[in-house]
Amino acid sequence: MNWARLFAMASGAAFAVGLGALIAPGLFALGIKQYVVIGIGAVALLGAFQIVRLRRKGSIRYTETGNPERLPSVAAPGDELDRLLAGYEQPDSANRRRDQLRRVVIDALVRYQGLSEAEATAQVDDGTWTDDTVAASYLGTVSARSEPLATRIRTRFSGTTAGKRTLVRTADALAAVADLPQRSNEDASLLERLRQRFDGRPTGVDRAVAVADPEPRTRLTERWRGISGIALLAVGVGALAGEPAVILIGVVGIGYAAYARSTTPPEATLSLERTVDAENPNPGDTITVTLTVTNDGDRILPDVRLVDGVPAALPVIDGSPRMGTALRPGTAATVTYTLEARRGRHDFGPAQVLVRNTAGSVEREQGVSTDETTTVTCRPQLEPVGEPVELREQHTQRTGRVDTNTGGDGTEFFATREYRPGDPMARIDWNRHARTGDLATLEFREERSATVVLVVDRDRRAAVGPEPYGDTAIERSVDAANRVFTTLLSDGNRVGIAALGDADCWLPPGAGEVHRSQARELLSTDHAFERGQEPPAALPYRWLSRLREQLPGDAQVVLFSPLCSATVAIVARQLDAYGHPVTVVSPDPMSRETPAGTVATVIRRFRISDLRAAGIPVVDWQWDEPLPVSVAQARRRRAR
Amino acid sequence: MTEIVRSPARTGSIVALLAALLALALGGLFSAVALAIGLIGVLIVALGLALARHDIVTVGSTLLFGSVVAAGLQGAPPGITLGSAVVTVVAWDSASTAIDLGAQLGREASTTRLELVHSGATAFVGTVTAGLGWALFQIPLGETSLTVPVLLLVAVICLAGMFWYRE
Repeated sequence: MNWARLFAMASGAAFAVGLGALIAPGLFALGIKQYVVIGIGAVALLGAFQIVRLRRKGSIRYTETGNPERLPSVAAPGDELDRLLAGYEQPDSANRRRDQLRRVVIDALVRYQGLSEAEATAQVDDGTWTDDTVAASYLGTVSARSEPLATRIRTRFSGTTAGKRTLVRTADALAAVADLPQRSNEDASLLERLRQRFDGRPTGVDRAVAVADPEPRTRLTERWRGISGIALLAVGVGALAGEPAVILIGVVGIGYAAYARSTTPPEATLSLERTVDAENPNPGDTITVTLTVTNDGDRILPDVRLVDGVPAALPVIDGSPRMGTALRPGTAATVTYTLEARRGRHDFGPAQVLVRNTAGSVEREQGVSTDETTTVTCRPQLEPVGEPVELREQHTQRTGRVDTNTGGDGTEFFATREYRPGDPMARIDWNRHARTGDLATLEFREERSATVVLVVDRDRRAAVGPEPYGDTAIERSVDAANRVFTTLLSDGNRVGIAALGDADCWLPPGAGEVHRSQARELLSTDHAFERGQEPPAALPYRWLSRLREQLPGDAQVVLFSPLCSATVAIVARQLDAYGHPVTVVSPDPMSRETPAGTVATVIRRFRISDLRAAGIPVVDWQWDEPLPVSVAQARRRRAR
Repeated sequence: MTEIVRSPARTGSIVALLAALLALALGGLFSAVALAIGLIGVLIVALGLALARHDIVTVGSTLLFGSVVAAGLQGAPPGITLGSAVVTVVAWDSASTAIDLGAQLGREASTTRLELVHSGATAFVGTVTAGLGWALFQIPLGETSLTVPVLLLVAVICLAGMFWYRE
């Protein structure tokens, strides 16, 4: 049954009869008594309560908008472990985690304390590996004494669960075994701890999720829901009390209920125009974006809300890419905001546009694009490291940067030998001749050019960083690749570039100006290095065999990777074993905020020492350190 | 990198608070009870705005509406109760829009024009209905018969029922 229609008809009938009674009082004298009024008031009140009761169940809905101001959030290293740790209620995963942690601790004891595997296992079993009772009893098989009451009470009110605290203590004990510096986080002030508890790693709608659909969608906001209940309440109370002034309040409520019934969505007759003041900025430059929205229709748009489709990798540094306005036909509104340029080619997406009717009872959502896609391309300059980059020793014929243990032509002094007829005059050691009268010839260390391919790890597990909205290790790797490329090329080597796991990204080794600019273009704009892309995490073995076909026989490999996965370490060792000497440049993305971060830090250290033990030099590039410092450090380590 | 602040938009919050205070003042002139209830209502609306919570704003506005009804029961003239009711709805509507705008566009975005147009339209609609109601109230009934007011009452209640079912 259609109640709405029934009520409408009843209302019309009552109104008509009432009007009739007004004009011809005698005709419709129904003889209504006071108690009828009271009855009607009671009915109205009942209806009002019913509506208010139902109203409480519904809630006002609004469309969520994206977060174009900030960069897509960056996962913390060890997040996968964290996910595993988060599910500790299930006994199965708890055991798995405990087993994993035990393995890591035993490994650390073997590596750093010089114990044998059996000794380490025994120590972990009986809990003597650490002074921390919580960690010892968690990983051990012997149950330790319980904690003092005061500690337990403190734990209870510290806002963490006992399980979480166990993990933190275990991770800290592991860090002590593995010689990691203690975390300073423990001494954070109460306020700071509270803030961390509420902030954590912020989530929220990421930009990729909020991409606006060009197909318009209409929805009712239901924001006026329940207004007729309020109206009935006033009418009921007024009728019961016989107070016309109160009944009139109800009439106002009915008026708004009628207003809210207008649910025709406005036509989204908008067009957008966007200009940027710099289409080819340098990294770090500011880009001012001006967005103009025009109402091309012939109706007023009373409620236009708009969020611009800012490219994911460009942070907003000033102003807001959002606007709310009302537009008469033919008028326009403008919003201006400032972005910071980052490496890469960045397309602006469609703007998310929400248009409501005057009452705000219906909303139309639509993605609106500009006629031409706005693009900003930022190509960083090629910039040398500023420190000599050492390659692996090798034997080839071209002159260049690789040092050999053969004396000959070169620039670095190697040895002197007896003069032989035919030696060039410039090479004779005249000092010695003056001193002793002997003729001797200087020999220089022979330098040969190398063929080098730079491989950048852009695996999903490399897209991590210590700051929630900062750089990822991939960004750092690409930056390092740029600088190493420049240095190696100007040293006379032939250098190529590849992306781990992406066969499409391949620049064969070469030299010269054209090659330089090709490399700059590739490092700046290649799809593989785009930020906000979800790189594949598949095993790269097929890619590896393809790379081996592409690699010249004598090519060395410089691998840029945070070493966050075992697979990358395996790739490095395999390439090395196939006769392509490998050097690893590894930006350190680790953060010790969470226990999982600490465990991940320890595991990464294991990987680095394993690679070094296999003869593969690793430049451990600290996050806050300039690349040349880490490169120089690695060179000193190799010289030892 | 700027971070969006998703607290309610400024203009709407100010309009809402001013409207709520006006409703409080109109009702409070005629009834101490209305003044007391209305004061609590205004404070709750302010709290709801501070916390950006629709439900709290709605509770506060309902209290404010209750204070208008109380003023009417205690003998406030129809003109005053009508005006007060309209201003109460404007307060609720502006606050709710400000919260929505804050959530969708943030505090940084310029939304003043949108908010003023929206609140203006709401005030206009309320004024027109209140005017109609007031005009109806002014019709001299002549006789003491209850027939006409009761029939009009039934018509109004049925209208409310119709709108509820169509919502």
